[in-house]
Amino acid sequence: MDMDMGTHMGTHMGTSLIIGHPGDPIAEAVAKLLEARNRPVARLTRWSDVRISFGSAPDAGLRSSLVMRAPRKEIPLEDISMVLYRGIPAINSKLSRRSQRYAQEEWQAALSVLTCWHGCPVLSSPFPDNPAGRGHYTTHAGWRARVARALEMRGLAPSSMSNLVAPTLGAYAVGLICNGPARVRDLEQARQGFELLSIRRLRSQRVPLFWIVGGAVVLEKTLDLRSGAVGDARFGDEAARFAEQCARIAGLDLGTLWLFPDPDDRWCLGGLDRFPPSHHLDGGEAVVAAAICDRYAGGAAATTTAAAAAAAANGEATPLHGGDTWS
Amino acid sequence: MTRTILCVGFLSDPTFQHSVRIFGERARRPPLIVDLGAARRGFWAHHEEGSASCRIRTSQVDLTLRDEDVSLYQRIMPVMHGCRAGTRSWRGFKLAHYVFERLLDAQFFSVVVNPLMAGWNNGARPIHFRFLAQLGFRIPPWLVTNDPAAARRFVAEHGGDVFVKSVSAHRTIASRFSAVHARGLESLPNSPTLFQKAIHGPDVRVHVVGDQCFGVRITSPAEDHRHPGSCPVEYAPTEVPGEVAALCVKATRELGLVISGIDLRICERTGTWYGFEANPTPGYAHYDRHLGGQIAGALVEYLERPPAPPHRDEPRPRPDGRPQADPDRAPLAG
Repeated sequence: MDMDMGTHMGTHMGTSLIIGHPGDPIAEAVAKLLEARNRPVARLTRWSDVRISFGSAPDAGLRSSLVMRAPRKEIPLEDISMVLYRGIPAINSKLSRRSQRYAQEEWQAALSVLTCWHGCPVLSSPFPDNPAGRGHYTTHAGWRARVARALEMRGLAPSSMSNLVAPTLGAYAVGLICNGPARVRDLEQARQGFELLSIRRLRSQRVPLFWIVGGAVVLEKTLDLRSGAVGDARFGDEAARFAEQCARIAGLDLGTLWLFPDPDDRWCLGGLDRFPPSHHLDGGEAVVAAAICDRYAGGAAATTTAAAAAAAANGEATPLHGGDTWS
Repeated sequence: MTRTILCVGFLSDPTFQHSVRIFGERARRPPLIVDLGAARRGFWAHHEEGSASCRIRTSQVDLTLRDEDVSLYQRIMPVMHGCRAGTRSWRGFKLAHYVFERLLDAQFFSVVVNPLMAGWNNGARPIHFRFLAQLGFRIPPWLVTNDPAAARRFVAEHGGDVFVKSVSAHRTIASRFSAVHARGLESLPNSPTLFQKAIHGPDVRVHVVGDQCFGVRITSPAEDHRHPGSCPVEYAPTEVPGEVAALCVKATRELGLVISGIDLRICERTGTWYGFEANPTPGYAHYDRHLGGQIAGALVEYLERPPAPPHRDEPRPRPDGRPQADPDRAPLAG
């Protein structure tokens, strides 16, 4: 593991763990900002750089005793205060493809204990509340329906799900597959009965896109549903507040939402994305990174207690079975 | 009011086939059957948000349904016996499954056995063990590690009497730690693995439907009775002690399930019941045949006259076992 730990450790100011590919704009911006603020941060780009051990107590009951190890440093899992996923680390390329897929599932299942055991926020987790990799709803359509029910927006949500009714011509009509705007191939598959669309007319192909951190809007953009291009814009407080309501209902800690207005000019949820592409940042990575650090990594001021520093110095965090087992 | 049972699944799945047969025999109204296996040429659906009706069409059926009239029994795992991966039929099956899953995700149906994402923590054994332990199940000691030295210490601590399993829900054959595993520990760093102390004694599989429990005792010299090889396997209906039955019902309810299959083992030395897993998509056909169809019969009762219609978005247990907050006012992550 490529490690860069600050001089402080302990629950008051724990370590932020950034998992994924090097070069990701958000990962790089967050790491840089944390280092500038003298916050402990660890980067994980390859699973082979990590040793992990945790288990139950031999007696009745369960004890969480989790340790992640690096070649040079040891981080008790209870000291990790934030995990940011920006991609999936590489697996040993000498394994067969089938073994690599299996190993990835095993790693993700193992790391899911971080959020489920210690209440540690795991941003853009491959499994927000499901170790199998799927959220409460698998599709935007499910989230749209969920938001509509929660906000009692009867007749407002666009989920007329169908592959029996083709998109109509005229005013710009967007066919939404469950996870995004429909392309020609999706429409063709729907006609064959192999895709399901939500069909909606829109006045404009440009819709508001909001970056969300911790349920709050931190960045506003426009998204062109036809081209996928992203640009600057502001849509006013009402749109932002509605986006935040949707984010809260969806439990979105990091990601994007896009909205569109209904014929009565009320905002509707178009879709949400827990793993938005980097180009949707459109130069806003510093803003998003700052929001992540402020919300999840202790804020701007680097402080620690004397007790926490002493605990770190004494190496009180011990592995499950003691000793250096790195080989 | 008695609802009609709508069955959606693959008739090549033995459990779905068994259930459809029992439903046909015991339900007050003939069940509606949508075989996704026959939908390999396409699956069409239409549902307007806010509308009480939905239309489903395949090459075999064309149904217009009202949510208040039907209860959905779904087994949409693409179990496609006799169909090779990569073939045109297989691709058709997968796509039909995908389309129906999307419809299900929009939650048109208010009564579903089992809801799509219920029982999710079964996907990571450590979380699942913790969940079961917090409910009151006894769980044999276990370790997840990719550290060969840690694995050796755990095996030594338990006298070498340890089982090796996957950490995720990936289906594997649980096997006793052996010289082969010892030699393979050097490749352990590639992937965390679950090691668990062996408990010796008969298995008991408990199927829960609502608040009813149906136990079957399984006796076999095989390490994993699901893959016995040439070893004999004996099945016999068995009573489940009240305390254990209550735990099974509670686990099923907490997971948001209507039916579950819970794997237990009785320690032959102490008589203690140990829990291993609450399966959200149990394959119960074989067990139900030894029970005279009681499991499927209980499903008929539930589906025809479900308890008070559940709220679609009822709070589900938090992964860490703490009380769930109102999802509409859920605290922000972190």
